Amino acid sequence: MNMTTFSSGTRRLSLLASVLCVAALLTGCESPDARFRGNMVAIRANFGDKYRTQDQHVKDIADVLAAMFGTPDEPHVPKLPDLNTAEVLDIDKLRMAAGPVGSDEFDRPRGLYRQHCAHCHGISGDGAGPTAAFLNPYPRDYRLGKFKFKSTPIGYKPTHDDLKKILIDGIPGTAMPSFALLDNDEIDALVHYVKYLSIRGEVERDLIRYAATLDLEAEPPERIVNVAYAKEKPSDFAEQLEEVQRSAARLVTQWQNARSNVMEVAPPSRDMNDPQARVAAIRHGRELFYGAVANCFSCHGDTALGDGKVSYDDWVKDPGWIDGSTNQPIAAQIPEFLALGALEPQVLRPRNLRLGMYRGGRRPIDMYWRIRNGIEGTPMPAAAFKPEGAPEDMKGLTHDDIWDVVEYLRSLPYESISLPAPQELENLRERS
Amino acid sequence: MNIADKRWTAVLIGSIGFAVAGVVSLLVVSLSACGRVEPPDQVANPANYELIRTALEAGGGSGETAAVQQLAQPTGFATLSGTFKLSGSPPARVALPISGDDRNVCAPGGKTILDEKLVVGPQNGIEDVLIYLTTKIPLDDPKWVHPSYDAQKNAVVEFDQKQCLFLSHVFAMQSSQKLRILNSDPVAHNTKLSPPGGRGDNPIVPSRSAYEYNEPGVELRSPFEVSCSIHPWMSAWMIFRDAPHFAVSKPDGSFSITNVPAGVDLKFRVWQERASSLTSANVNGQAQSWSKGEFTIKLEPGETRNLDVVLDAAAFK
Amino acid sequence: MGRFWSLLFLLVPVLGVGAFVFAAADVWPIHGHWLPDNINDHGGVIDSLFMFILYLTGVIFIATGIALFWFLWRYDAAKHAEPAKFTHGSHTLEVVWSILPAAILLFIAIYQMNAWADAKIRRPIESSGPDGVAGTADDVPQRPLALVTGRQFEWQIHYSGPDKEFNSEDDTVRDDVFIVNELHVPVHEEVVLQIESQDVLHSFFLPNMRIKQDVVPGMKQFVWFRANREGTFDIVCAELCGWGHYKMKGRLTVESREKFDRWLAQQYDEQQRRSFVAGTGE
Repeated sequence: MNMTTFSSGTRRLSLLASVLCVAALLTGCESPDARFRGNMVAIRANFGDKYRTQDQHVKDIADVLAAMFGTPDEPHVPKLPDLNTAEVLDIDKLRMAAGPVGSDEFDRPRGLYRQHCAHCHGISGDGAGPTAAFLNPYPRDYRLGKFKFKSTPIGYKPTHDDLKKILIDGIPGTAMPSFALLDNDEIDALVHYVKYLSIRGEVERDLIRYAATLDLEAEPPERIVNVAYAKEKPSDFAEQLEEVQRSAARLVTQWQNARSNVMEVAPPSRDMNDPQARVAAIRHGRELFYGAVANCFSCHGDTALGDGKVSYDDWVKDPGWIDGSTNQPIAAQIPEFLALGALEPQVLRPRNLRLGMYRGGRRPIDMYWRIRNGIEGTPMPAAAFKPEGAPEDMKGLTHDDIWDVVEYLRSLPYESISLPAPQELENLRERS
Repeated sequence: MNIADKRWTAVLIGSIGFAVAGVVSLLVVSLSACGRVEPPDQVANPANYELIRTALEAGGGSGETAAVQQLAQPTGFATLSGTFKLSGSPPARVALPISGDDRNVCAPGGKTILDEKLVVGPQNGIEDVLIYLTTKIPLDDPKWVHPSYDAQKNAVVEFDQKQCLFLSHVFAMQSSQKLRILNSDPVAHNTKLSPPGGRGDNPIVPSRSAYEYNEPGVELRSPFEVSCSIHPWMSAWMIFRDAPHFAVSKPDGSFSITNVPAGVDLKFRVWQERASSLTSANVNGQAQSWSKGEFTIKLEPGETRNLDVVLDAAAFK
Repeated sequence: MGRFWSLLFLLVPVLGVGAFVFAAADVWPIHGHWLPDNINDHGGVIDSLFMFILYLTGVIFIATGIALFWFLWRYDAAKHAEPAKFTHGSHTLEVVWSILPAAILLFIAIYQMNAWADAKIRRPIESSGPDGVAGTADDVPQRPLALVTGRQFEWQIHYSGPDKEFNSEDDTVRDDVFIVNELHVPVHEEVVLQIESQDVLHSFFLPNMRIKQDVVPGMKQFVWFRANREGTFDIVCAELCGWGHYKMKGRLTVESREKFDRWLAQQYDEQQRRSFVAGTGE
């Protein structure tokens, strides 16, 4: 052997090595085109062990969703019979929030969602963006269509203003920051986009549930939509489209009706600015807190420190991997769901009521709504409500009872055991 | 081999080793940085979705253009009854993790309460198997829905709980009926309903009181789980159906659905908590294969068809 | 060819000085890159310190630049055939260039002490204490108007309200106001803020007030200023605190006492909201 072959071999090898390195770097971290991701977790949950053989359904769902909602760069608002969809989803606002970050020819912002939200909430609104796994609680997955902090009862959509309030105030105690400094129309655009992702995600889940009742192995295969039918069997095609439209129409109607489901609240009969009345309210609220009708203590704990029952919220429970009787994750299913993109199950603790940290807002009205209506998607139930004029023996909290509980909760962070050590007024550097 | 050769061999091996180590570490770094599992992208076929969009925008699904499919008309009514039985030994029921302040009410005297995911009664009868009609039928047509069902159409149905157990572990009702949730316990419960596509609710039901959920209004394709946050071991399954043709098997595994439209092919679905999607069964001694728990049946007018369904224990995980 | 390089290297000090001159004069091509407006009565001291150091370093920078250029030009190998000479150095020169900077640094250290004490130690006082003499150990320092807590990625503002106490235990006074990212302060008044962090290192930066204070979790810091102009200004985070550092921005509004009181009362009323009638919003 002579030396030149060695050296040229070495050179070739190092060339190859550098090409490989560059290739690995480029392919490993290249940011892919913005595309919505399929809800594989729901497919697995609905099809069980047969989820791998549902490619036709997966493709059909992608086609239907793209037809109705477009893509992350080009959103579309579905036209639905007898419905004014634009009232819920304004296409101009959606365009402002969608697409890559930048601005249009009039210097108006574009891509607001990707600029401010997508890294946590994900391009698809699945609450599984790149930073999601490191957060507790996880960012909201909009696709379940459930929102915690709102003026409407459980089972009803939040209003536009409810979602806006969360964007403006942020959620203290979580990774959700305040976006108060954005322009009003930018916040509006983001709220529209959240609704858009939520409706899209719920339609997708609906289609998956529908697909689970269809048999691909039948002859002819039962499909969600078969475009070949457009010409061959127009009436079957129309029927397929109708099924598809039905769930979108139902959701748009629900969002449209949100405002009429807002719970209006009258002020308390007591004047809470009167010290004596407030002391009485707090005392009564405390009795109710530990009473068997409100039953607050059974989860929030005897000390209200939130050390009662540990549980899971609906977003964690969604894949169906939490056993209903033992309330524990089914260990065998976890790796499979994680491989499909689910985040590790995260436990939910009842709120520590002594911190003075109010995720859903600290106004008395916000607290009233949470007690009266419960918190959607969590174990927090709605209070048993005793309306005015109800029979004497009916068990439940009256309007004023709830206000008294609110006042008690508002006093909890100020009780001496809740307070931090007294403040030093000197300009001392204290290390704790 | 001379000394120069040896030196070059060493250099060669060294450089290969270095290059390999470099590539491997770069790969490891790049993969671990982006290593989180992400679900696949949805790739839509532009030709397909353009076509679907055009059809939708043209009002293609609005039912006006869709021709009403002519169903065969039923020729009378019949009764569908039978039993669900288990062959083989069922998986063991586990003790519910009852704890907390209410344990004297929920498990008096420290009694062990077993889960109800699969309860096998005398003669291997399976309790709480749900069977329901999945074929869409015209609900307003007395040829399809027998007038005997009219009385219950808007009736109030009760869903009760006692000793921290839902009294109906599997509960079926019509979506037009009104649901009343009862609590017969001396302690408070909350009843968390999250029907997929329906209206969720989560009321506290104080002891010995009732809560009106009223009519669900939507039909569900399959049952959903009902829970209680105060007593996390409590679990039941509920379904809302538009048509009244459904039944839940009794402790001996028997069920009966009266006034089922006869003379037409109907699809029924069988559901059990531990085996949500049944694929095979032995019906009246004959092996049948079911698709997603569904089977098709055509009844003769006036007859009482008896189905002795034997399900294999292997289906219940 | 060689002289070309000396001219090219001359561009570095020329452009460097030019950047400062154009920016300070606020003319083309560098607009609006000089210091932001100072609206703090106590901020002038910081600016003069900055200018003093800038002039000092500027003179040295220009002198060094000229010297380097002169050597490059004068001893260019193409024009200068004389061989290089080596020396063992000059003791005198070394003493000079060690002592001179040391003296200058010492001068700056002493010269700025008062400014440092005013900005970091001599917090405005509420009263001069029992002895009635200000500047003694028994002075009562001014209590903070608001507690600013940094958290990933926002500034939480907690006003102590009229009683000037946070979380007052007294049941009848619950006048604290909680806001995010919006800090309002009265103009022409000494304002003390207490700065804390809830999670990681942040740095509370008011560019227009010439105030920048690192916030360390578990530590309590105070900053103070007296604004002399109304308007809205930025609050930013000046410590890389995580991926969302760039969005940790707040708004400082300086307004008259009446407007400030009205605004705070409004916030307080909204925070006490106890009734709701469905609005006409979207």
